[in-house]
Amino acid sequence: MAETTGKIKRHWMVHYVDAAEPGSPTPNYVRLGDDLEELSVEMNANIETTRNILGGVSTRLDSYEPQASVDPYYAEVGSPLHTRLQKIVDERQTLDDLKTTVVEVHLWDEEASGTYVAYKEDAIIEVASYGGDTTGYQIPFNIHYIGNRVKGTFDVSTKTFTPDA
Amino acid sequence: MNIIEVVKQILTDCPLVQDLSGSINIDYTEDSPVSFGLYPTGDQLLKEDVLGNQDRRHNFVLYAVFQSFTDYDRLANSTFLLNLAYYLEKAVTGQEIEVTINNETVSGKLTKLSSANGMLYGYQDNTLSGPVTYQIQIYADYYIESEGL
Repeated sequence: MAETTGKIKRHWMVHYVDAAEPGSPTPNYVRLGDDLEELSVEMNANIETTRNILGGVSTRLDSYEPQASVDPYYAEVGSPLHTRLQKIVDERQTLDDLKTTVVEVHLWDEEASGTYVAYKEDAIIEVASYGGDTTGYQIPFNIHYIGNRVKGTFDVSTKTFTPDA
Repeated sequence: MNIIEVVKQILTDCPLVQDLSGSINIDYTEDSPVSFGLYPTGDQLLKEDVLGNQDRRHNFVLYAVFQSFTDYDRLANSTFLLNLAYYLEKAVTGQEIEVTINNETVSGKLTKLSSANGMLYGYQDNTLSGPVTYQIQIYADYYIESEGL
């Protein structure tokens, strides 16, 4: 890992998604980012603004509905994420079949050698479309973060998340 | 092999080239037909993904010295360029590439070959009946992986 000083490079903020089937005893984290020139988690904050009788403004932010769009995603034979997405497409999966977890890893914040501060959260995979143009078979998808956010550490070599005690 | 070596190898292995010459020079063509010279003309970054992987393009010009006595010769020459363009589109099989940046070697692969502007470029001795030079621009798109973790 390069020395982390100054501005943080984009690839040091790493997004993993669990490509294992729901209910699988061991997660299978796949790093997102191939072919993506941009990947942003939109926070979608719920904000209520009211004007009171004194002429002031009262603003209340009470929740978030984070969401990320992974587009393009080029399907790759043998990739566990492709297998998962293809099953969603083929079986028109809904509800709990779409559940997964995502991990955000802060590569600039090393706890031990190869282990970094990370946050895990439950999520839903929404396949937006499939097919695409002549550049290759694409399955762009959205990730909806649904809470249960846990702080911990992530070992990038074993791809395992360990929640803080 | 770097991108220049890979493209030179693909052209050298091309049956169209082998039938005529069998060899590709770099930045050099001989005066007498048939001779091929591959001239690299620069490299550019096309895009970079959030992992730091890069899509890059290396540009080349292939010069070919051919005979040009008759229309039949010139038709054969232009047909060669046309067939070479078709060949290049199908020649990519994920050839491995090595890129060394700041003493660090990363791997990559060739993703696409395309071409444009295949045409008569110039005469020698100011006559069309002597050897003439054709050119075709070749674009080699390739992908290199980031430093990794």
